[in-house]
Amino acid sequence: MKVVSVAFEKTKPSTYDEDIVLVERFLAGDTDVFSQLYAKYYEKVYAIARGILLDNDEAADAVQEIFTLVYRHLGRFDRRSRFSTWLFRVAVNRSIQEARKNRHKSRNVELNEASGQTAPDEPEALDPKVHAALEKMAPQDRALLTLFYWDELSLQEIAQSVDCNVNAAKTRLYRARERFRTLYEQEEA
Amino acid sequence: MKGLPPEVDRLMWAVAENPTPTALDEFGQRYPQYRSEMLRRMEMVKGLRSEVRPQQAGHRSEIPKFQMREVSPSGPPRGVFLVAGLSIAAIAAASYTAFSGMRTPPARPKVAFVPRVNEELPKAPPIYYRNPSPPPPTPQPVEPTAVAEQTPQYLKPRSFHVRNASLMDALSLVTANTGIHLEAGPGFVNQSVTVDYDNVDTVSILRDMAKQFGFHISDEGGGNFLAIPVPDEPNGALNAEHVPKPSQTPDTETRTGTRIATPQSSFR
Repeated sequence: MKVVSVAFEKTKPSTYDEDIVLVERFLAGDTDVFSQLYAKYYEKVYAIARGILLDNDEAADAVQEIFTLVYRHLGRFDRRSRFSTWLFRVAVNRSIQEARKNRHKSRNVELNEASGQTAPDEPEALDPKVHAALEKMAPQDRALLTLFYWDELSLQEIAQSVDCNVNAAKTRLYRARERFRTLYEQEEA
Repeated sequence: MKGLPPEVDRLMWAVAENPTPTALDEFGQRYPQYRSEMLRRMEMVKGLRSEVRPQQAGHRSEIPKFQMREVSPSGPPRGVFLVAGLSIAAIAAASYTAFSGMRTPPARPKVAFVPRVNEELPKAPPIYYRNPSPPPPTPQPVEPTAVAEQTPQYLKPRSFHVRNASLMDALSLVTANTGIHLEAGPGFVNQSVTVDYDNVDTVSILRDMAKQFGFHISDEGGGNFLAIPVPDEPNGALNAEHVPKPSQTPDTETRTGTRIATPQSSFR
């Protein structure tokens, strides 16, 4: 009898969401729990920011800004989706904004450092053609490719993170991939 | 690579993202001409994954401490939008003003207005009755113009105003073009009169004048009237000081029901 009940318990869908509990505690006034959310999602948010911004330092800065926004506006989380999805959407939007803001700045830096004194801080394992092609893409396309090739999110979660439906996400992803291929081939040539 | 069929393109991406040996073999057997392109796709996907995965993207292993930042506003300040909106509105208003000043009103086509008085209206189709006996004729309405034509001219209401005229002249004027033949009897005093009538028929005017100015009107029939002075009224027609009393003011109603306007009469 005990075996049956254990088996039944295993088949029951798990409704417990640790993130929601932490969010509720934070909103109730226990602000210390935010450090748990921060530690849990730092890597993922950093991955999104870096994939869109293509720069480690800018990504690290962006992550701090993203968590600051989450800290201040956690009350706006409506619990219709998972906390992680909401967090990733904030991360994508903020990173895209930062990328647009930094585009002009980075071009000026490139012009100043055109003498060839650049010291690449990227590991040598990375393909420079991929990096160059990604740099030429729009931040929205980079966001989609980042979320997709990160291989940790379902298409549904990707769609929610970029605020569209699944079919639109598929279409946008296909187009982003094609643009990337075109730019990559240009880099090869 | 250009000219790639879309389905092959999608298939290549799918295989490059999951490059199992079986999938690669099958693809190579089916599309041997795209083998080099397939290898390139795999290289792209590998590069993309390396780029977006933090473990391989030079990510620091330790997690920095959370620091609250001053987050800059996401978009441009609202003032920018306000200025831009006002500028656009000003440009639009200026363009409209300039354009409407340059534009001349379109010339109207010269089309003469032709009243469609005699135009024939479409006629209704004839009615065929199943009953052999025709329907009873409906009474034709009498046109008001026909009624007006039957009424003698001297019975139609009119306005008549005379100032400081002799009584004979006034009587001639009031009967002129009315179909009345007025014959004045002997002994008529040709006094100066002023009369004002509005919307009163000629016969009523004559009777009222007779009442005021001391003579008698006799209807002889067929539009013939006879005006005879009344001798036994010393203070009436002959009295130059006569002022009509309010009770003498004719306030009767005409045959058509129209109220007589207050006549003003006096002897001069």
